[in-house]
Amino acid sequence: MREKGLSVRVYIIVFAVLIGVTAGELELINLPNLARDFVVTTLIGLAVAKAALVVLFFQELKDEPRPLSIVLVVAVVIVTALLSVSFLQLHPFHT
Amino acid sequence: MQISGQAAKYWLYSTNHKDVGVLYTVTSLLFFLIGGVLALSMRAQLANPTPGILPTSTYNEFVTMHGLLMILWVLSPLAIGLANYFIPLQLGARDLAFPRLNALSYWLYLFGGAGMVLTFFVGGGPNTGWTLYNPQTACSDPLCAGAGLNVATGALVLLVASITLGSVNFIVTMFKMRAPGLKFSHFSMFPWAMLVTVVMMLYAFPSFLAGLVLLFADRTFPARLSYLSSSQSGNIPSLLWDDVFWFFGHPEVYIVLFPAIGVIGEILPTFTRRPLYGAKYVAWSMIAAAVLSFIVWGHHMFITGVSPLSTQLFTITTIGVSLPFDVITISMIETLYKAKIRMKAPVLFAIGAVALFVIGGITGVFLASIALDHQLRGTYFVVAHFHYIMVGAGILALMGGLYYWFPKMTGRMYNERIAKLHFALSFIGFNVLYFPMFFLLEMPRRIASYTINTGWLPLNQMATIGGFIFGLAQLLLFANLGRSLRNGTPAGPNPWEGWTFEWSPSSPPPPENFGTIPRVASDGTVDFGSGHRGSLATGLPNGHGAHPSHLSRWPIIMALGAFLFLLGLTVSSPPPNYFLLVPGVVVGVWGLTGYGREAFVVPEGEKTADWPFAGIPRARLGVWVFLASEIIFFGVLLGAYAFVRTNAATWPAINSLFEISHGATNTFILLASSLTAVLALACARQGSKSGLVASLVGTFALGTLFLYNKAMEWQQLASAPVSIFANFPLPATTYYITTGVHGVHVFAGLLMIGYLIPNALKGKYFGHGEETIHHFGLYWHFVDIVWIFLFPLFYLI
Repeated sequence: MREKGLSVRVYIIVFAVLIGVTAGELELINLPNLARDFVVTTLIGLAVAKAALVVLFFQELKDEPRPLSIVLVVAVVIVTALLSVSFLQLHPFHT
Repeated sequence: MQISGQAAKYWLYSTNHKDVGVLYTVTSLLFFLIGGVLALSMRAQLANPTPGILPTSTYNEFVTMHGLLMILWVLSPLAIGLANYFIPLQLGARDLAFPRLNALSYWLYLFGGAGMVLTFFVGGGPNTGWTLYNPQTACSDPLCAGAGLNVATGALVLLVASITLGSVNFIVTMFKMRAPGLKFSHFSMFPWAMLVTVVMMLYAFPSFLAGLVLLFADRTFPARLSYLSSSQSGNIPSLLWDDVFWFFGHPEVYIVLFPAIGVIGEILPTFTRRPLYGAKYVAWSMIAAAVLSFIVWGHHMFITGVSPLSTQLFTITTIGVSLPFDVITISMIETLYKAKIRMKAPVLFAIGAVALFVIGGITGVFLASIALDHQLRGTYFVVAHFHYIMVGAGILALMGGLYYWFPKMTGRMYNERIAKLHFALSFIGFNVLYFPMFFLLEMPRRIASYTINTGWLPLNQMATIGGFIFGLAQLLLFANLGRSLRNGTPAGPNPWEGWTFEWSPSSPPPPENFGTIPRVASDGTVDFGSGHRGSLATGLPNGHGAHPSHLSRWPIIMALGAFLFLLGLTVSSPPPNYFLLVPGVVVGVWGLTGYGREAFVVPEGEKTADWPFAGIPRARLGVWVFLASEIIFFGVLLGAYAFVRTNAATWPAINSLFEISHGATNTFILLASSLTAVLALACARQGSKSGLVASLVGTFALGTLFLYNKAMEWQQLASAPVSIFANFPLPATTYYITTGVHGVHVFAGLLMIGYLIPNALKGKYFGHGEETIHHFGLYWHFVDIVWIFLFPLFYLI
């Protein structure tokens, strides 16, 4: 029978990656000559990646039935839609 | 009627879904009376142009309170009351998944409503209109005193908490506790409608909660925090409230409407003796409308000056959302077409509701047009339109549901003649009340007086006559049901020859609903137990472990604590009022501790249909579903921050206001605490008591260190020589609110660990007990994820 959950080794590897990515974030903002948009996008992308690691491995979503992911993805999609349209409202594409 | 102490205790402590359903139903009808009296006062006022019987300020309070009470404390709760009573019965379940949580939802709802009514006596009710638009909600004096809006905000927070817990409860119940063999395709229309409704509640209300947090901060700490009322970025904060409010507010219309459609979908088949025409398509239409409802909110903002592209987008989606309702209406009409209808009161209300829904729906499509909306927005045409939907379709259908299920709830029949008279007067009164308003195209809503030369007087007087006919007709409902409760003829288990599960047990049903859980065969036939081989239910616990009486005192105590706490935070200017706040904390902690320690077990032993979540225990699914609502809540808070920041004229450079070292240190601490939390789970699984305790203690220590660092940072910023509040109001407000709400979540996690550690020392969390550690971990890791986003947003960008 398969042992329930992941091994402690996996947890520690994930933790190490999270720390490494955070250190990378701190380094990134000190790099010269990077466009602000690139920095912002990369930082948000790294945050998403870190969150995904926590969800999949620490919260063990990867071992749960797939429909459970839908419950969470719907919430993320709703928030994204709200924000996207809210910004769209304030930035006229034509007058 | 005299209520004995024993009976009072029973109703205060009961967690049985049927009792809670009765409490919800009765309470919502009481709020219906209050809201109705406010409405009649307003109609009396408008029957004469001027002077009226109410001062303008009082009129504005009545308008606001009428809207808030009727929408949030009557319509949905009445539906939730019926759902509480009948959804477990219709699923073939013994109760909801979390009975005590269900009772807690009710008490939070009741105390929230009490707080809302209380506002009349603590400086006046809110007078902003139910939409609570900024700048009407902005403070008029430095202490933000008066108007009762502060207390109302706290009351609304209680209501949202109640609704969120209720949504989680219903979702888990409907996915995990269906009778064996009961598929979603077997559902009748009320369970379908309630499933769609609670899912919408789960995703819509957190946005409102986030908005309330902003409003709460603005009004409670006006000298320091000013999110919505800040003038630093023009009208952006006002638009922010519009977005946050209507993102909840438009789905709320369907949240109110769908249960009514579900009730109609139960009544029509029963009284026409034929299945609902195209039932499958009605269910799909509700799902489609629910999805679309989340992308139509902008049509409430057509005249705010938002971009033309977004108005075009919202026009399309708004017209689109009418299509599923066309399908639903056609289905109902087809079901009635050439049917031999048994003309009893429930079906009269259902047919009346369909007719009024058609009028309300068609007039709503007009408002999707930008050109027409510019003319009609804020007029009595809109008032007529939404009352045709919410009262005409919503209330009338739910009253039909009350008559339909009254025999099952009480074991007694109501008086049919009086019920029909009630319908006739309601239908006539309603139309005399609201139809004239379609012609008051130029009369603005929410005005307390007008001049005679406007020509509005005759139509207003007609509306007032209709209002009093409609209002007085409701007394027949109370008289009829009240009298029938004692003197009605016995109903028997199935007076309407209904086809759904709830008509199987006696009227009223026994505490555990079914002697044997019904079993549905693949062809849809149901075995109610007599020939049941190897019964799954017989001999199993009764669904409440050590609590066969279904009683628990802790839900009401916890709700009382929350009520006192929020009252203490809001009732005084300046806040807080320690005479309320401290007892609130004490009572709340006492209730929470008692709740946690109580041996109230809802066993998972009974085999139920649980697709698509087979293999996930109920409680774990509940935690995940709750976290979905938290994603929306924090998403909106972070979105509000992004919204304000990207539109602000200036923002401090990175590392100038918020030091990166503070944020980075706390990030490492919280990530480490996530590792110790997941190690606690691993130790629980391996049966290592010392490892479990050490990991929990480590998580507690790291969480405490995080909060300590955060408190130091807050203090340092607040006491800086250059005042952050004066010089950087928006950065300060967004920072303190967002990290403050996150800090409250961390603190709640620490309380959980404080409860877990002593039990871990007793060796409680091994075997099945490891699930509790898993639940805690899910929450704690979520809090960690939120910080993963806060760190770059506040410190690095």
